[in-house]
Amino acid sequence: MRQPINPNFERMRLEAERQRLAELEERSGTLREMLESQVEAARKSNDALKAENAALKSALEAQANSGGAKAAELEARCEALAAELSERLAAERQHQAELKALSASLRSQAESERTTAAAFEARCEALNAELAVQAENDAEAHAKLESLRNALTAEAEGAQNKAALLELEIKQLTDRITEVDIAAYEPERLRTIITPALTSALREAGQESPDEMANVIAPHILKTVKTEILNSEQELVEAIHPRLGVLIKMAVTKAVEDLNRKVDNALPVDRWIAAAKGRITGAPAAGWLLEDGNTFIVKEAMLIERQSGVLLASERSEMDVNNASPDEDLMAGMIAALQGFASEAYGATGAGDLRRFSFTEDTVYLRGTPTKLLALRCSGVAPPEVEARVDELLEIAMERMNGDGHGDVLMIDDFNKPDVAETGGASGSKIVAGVLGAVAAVIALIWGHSAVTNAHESRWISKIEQAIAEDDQLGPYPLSVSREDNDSPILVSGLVPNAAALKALEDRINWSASPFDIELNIALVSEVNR
Amino acid sequence: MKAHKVIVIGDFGVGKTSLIRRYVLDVFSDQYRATLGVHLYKHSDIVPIDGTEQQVKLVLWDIEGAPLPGEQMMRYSLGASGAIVVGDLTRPDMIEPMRRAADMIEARLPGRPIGFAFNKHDIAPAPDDSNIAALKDRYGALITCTSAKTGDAVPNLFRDLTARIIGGKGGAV
Repeated sequence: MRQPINPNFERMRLEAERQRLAELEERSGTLREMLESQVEAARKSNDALKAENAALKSALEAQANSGGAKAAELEARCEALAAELSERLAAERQHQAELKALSASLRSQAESERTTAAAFEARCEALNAELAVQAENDAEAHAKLESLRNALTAEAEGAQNKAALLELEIKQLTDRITEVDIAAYEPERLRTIITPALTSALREAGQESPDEMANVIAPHILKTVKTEILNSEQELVEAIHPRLGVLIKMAVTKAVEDLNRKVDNALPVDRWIAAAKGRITGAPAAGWLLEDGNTFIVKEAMLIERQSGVLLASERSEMDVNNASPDEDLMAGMIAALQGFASEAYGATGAGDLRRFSFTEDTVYLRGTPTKLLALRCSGVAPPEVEARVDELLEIAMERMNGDGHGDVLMIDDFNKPDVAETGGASGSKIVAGVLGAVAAVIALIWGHSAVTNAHESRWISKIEQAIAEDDQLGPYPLSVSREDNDSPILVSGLVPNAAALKALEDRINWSASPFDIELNIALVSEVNR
Repeated sequence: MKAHKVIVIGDFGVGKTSLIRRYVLDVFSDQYRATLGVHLYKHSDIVPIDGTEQQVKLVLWDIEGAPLPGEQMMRYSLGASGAIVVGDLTRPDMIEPMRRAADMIEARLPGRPIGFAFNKHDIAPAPDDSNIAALKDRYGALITCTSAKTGDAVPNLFRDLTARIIGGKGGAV
């Protein structure tokens, strides 16, 4: 059913519609105004944009012009970057290669480590096995040690017991020593106690081991005797004076007897030589016979700078070359100092010059020029013409020195020859006289032989003396070596401690090499004691 | 090989013999024994001369001590290749006797090298630098502080003097 229309309502609705329309119209007008203002604004904005667009366009055009240079720069930069990148890439590749090599090496090293580790492992196993065996052995050793300890403990107990016994003995001995000590303060009592014991002990020792006793006491006795002789020289002289006269008389008598025997025993050839020498020199033949035993030898010649004592030249005789001699430089200095002292004391005119002095067993002959000194060290009995020969040798030496100044300036072995006088050409020797020349040559030969024989004899005596000196145990004992005459053996006489020392001395002497007979006349201390 | 004569001079008890015995025998004794006259010692040594080592032979003349050089000292000094003048550092007036001895050497042995040995340096200090400089200027000498007791500088003293003798440098430094 349809509701009836309400005219009021309709009116009211129309009115509302009308009002609404009016509002809409009003609103439309506002909107229109708004739109218009907006369009105006848009138009203004559009103009502004257009202007801006034009500005941008011109700016873009300007930018497009400068873009070319920048592009070139960018291109260069790109190329540089590309080159750098390629280098880096190459380096990277190389690095990779190195890493690969390193990796390979590490791998091989690891392999070798692995092998070594395996070897160590094997070695460890072997050692373990050895240790196991050793442990078993240690157990055995331990057991042995244990038993040893037990044995030692037992021994220590025994030693303790012994020590207790020893302590007891020491106590007893101490008591005895105290008694002896007390006795020592009473000399009479001490003498009473020890004299019988000492006497008996010495007697027993003397009977049982005489050699040992001799060895022990003989050096002390000899030393004591020597010391006593030195300390009591005066008393000794007084004591032996009466006896000494007798001894000297005996010695002189014996010497005369020896002299006679030597002359009597001389070989016919020796006598003939001595007689010939006597005829030539005018000296007695007996004197020549005796002199053969002590031939004159120039052992050493020295040419010395007079002021400084510096040795300019020296020469030793072949006959003396094996013997010990004083240091020639020191001797030269000493001679220069002596000569200087003498010249200072007696004037430098030459009147104060020393011409001869003794030095040990030798005689030193001296001659001098203002700048040089000639010194001859000689041994033996000097022949009468020696002084003249020394003058000649100085003359020869000076002539040689004034020549080239080199080489041998002295030639003392020439001097030792009997015909040196001819070399000097200054002395009137009888040797060079006419027909006697041949005889003199023969004499010189025999004389030379005699000199060589004597030199041999001296050398052998020195050798035996050296053999004695080298034996320490013979040091304090009196031993001498001598040869009476040309027909006698070399005699070694004196005292030695015992048979062993005598045997050692015999062994030291080279018997077979000696051209002379050697005779020993030696007493043993042990024998003397008996 | 020629031996060179070197004289050692100085006052009593300054240690001339001790210096020589230290050099030659390498020994020392504090027992004083005066030297009477002259003692001779011989010694061979190896000395560097101009860069090469040479074997030399010295005859050392240990001349008895005297405060002033007398006729005896002059006689013994003849022909010497060099001289060592020894003084005792413990003595306050040691320089003057050394000067006189050096004057004698200059007069008798002109041009020979001289060495001054100030001995007993183990118990006394070295002399003033001014004294050393004066001696060096005056004599052109070697100057060494020595001790025969300890051996300090002793071989060098003799070797340096020998080098001067053989090197032919004379007294000039």
